[in-house]
Amino acid sequence: MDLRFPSDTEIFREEIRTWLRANVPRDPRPDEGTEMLEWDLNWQRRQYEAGYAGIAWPVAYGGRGLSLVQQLVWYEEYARAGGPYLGACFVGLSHAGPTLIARASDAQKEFHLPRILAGVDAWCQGFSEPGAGSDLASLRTAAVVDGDELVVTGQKIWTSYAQVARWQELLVRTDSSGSKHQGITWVICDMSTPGIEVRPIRNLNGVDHYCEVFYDEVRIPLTQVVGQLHDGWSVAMSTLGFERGTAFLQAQTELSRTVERLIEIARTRRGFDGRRLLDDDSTLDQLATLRTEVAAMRAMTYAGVSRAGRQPVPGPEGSMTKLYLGELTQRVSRCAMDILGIDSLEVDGSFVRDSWVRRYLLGYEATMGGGTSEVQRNIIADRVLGLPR
Amino acid sequence: MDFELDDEQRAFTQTASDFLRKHLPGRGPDRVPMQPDRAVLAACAQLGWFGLGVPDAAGGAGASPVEEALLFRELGRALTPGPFLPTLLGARVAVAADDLELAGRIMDGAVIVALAQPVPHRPELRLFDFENADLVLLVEHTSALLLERPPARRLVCLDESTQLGSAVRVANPAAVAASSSEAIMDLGMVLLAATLTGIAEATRDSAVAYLSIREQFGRPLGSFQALKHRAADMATEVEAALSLTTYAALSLAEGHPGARLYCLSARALAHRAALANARANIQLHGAIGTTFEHDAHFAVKRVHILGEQLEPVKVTLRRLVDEPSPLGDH
Repeated sequence: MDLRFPSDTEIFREEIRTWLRANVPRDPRPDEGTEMLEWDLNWQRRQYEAGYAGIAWPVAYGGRGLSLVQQLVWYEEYARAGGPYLGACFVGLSHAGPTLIARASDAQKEFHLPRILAGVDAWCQGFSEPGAGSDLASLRTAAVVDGDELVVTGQKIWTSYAQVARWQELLVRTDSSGSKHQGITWVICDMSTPGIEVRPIRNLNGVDHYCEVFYDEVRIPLTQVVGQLHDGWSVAMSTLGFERGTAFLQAQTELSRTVERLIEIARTRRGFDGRRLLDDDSTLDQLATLRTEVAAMRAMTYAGVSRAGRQPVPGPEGSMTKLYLGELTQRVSRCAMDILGIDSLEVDGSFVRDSWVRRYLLGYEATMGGGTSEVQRNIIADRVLGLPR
Repeated sequence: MDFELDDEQRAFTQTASDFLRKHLPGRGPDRVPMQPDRAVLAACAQLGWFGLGVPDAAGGAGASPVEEALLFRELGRALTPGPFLPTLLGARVAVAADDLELAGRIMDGAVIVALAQPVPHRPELRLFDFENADLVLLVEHTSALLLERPPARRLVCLDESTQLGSAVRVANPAAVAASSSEAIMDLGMVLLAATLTGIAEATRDSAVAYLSIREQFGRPLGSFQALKHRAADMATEVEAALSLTTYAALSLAEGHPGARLYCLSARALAHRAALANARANIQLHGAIGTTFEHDAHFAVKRVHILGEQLEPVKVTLRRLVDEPSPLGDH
């Protein structure tokens, strides 16, 4: 057991810290539309050109070919430098790309992976449907083989960035004769294909983020199928838990920054009784506890990455980290609202740079995306603890 | 960066848990876990437990806080009562005070140390597991003191397996040995965290085992989602406490500048985890969990005992907020 990193990793840390300090964008990220897309892609392009895209991706496809531990260090330094949310590049970098690495043909990898890393194209995800949320495998968007094409008809929902993405990782039903996990196909969908209609959904924070996507006889060449026809469920599952939880460290570091800033504010801000907020026992208890939980989140991420280094396939333990992170993210935001007091009612008030009010509202998604907290608890109970079904 | 136990650590953990199963906890009347007697404590000393982290040169086993935490995790798991923590810390105080003779006698089990805890605003001490002890460890302000065991009156304790005593607290007591409290408290926090993590694990396992066999409505309890989710929360509490305790032990072992924040955090977080799991374990056992006959109550009671040892958890929370930011340590 040890916490130490190899010396070449520490050299790598110094190198990226210097680069990130000088290069992390300081101009505000636009909220919506093509302005936002260009901003996200442009930042991705800069990282690529400097050699910092796809730290653990194969060199053959434009990555750095480094280790999981170096990937972990990248995320930590990225967050520490205040690096922005991956935004429109998230699905390509964190989900579609890793899936392609694991399961795509050489031709598919050669075309798409460098474009994802270089910030040429954004991706979106077409998984959930109005009738298939937590029960994803019950999806019904139909695809019929017609010659050398799939013809897709149906509807997806909760697709982030569908308005701006060039490509979509799309799950369709190509066979409904067997069990629900059979007969699903994972296909690359060009979002500019005729027959696709995107309708944005306004979020509770007033921003258009998620979308509904409608498919009316959309024709996709069979060459766009990843893995085998009807075998899409195993393709989709191959990357859940990709990067073996290294990305948790980015989230953890961001939470740590927030908690440290809150402690700083509570040391100086005073309440109506004239006392510093930190002299109030309940505030102290809340902030101290958050500090312990953020530390635990860091330790769980380390433990997970260490475990992943020895497991060929990611285990279900990652669900505990995911559950913990979602709930903790919301507790941190709620504490920020408490500390701001009446200032929390003004969206762009005196702490506009911290965007705490916006993050509080966004935080309601933290226990939904990637599987709700309740689904994580089911996975933990069934697959970690082995409780009867 | 590696969180997995190596072969030696695995073997050490196995030896400790085998020993505890064989010799401890013996059960007294009403299944109350019994205090180890001097012979058992001497056997623990022979296994090298009390000098585990003392350097070879000073007569110890030269292990790190990581191995010490593994030992206390097993003690917690088995809900073993006894003066293990103050005796181990007492050896450290003696080494720091350069009294190698005393350190040697503690390490070989000839001198046993109990824990003494001040009572706020009253000239009293509370002694824990003291009846077999020769000395007491008292941490006051910035000092860790080894004192002759004062005469004490036995109190009826919340935890039937813990000996609780009341003694008079004198000003400026004459110490047998004394050291600065910092290193003692850092290590003590990690070992309390490890004990609490062991309790959180044992109560999780107890609940999961019961949910898997007990049937109602013609189904095992563990197949009901409401109960699955409580068990999943117990597992997550353990994952957090165990990971953080390991992280703290490693950062202490490696002398990281920010180690103290992790030691304090581990104690506070593992305390909450152990209490949450011990309480949930009673609830998930249903009415049987509220009986004296079932072990579930001992875990809850022990967590309350541990929550007052070395310093109250409230003080740990206050201290950890005052530590420098963990983001500044690189």
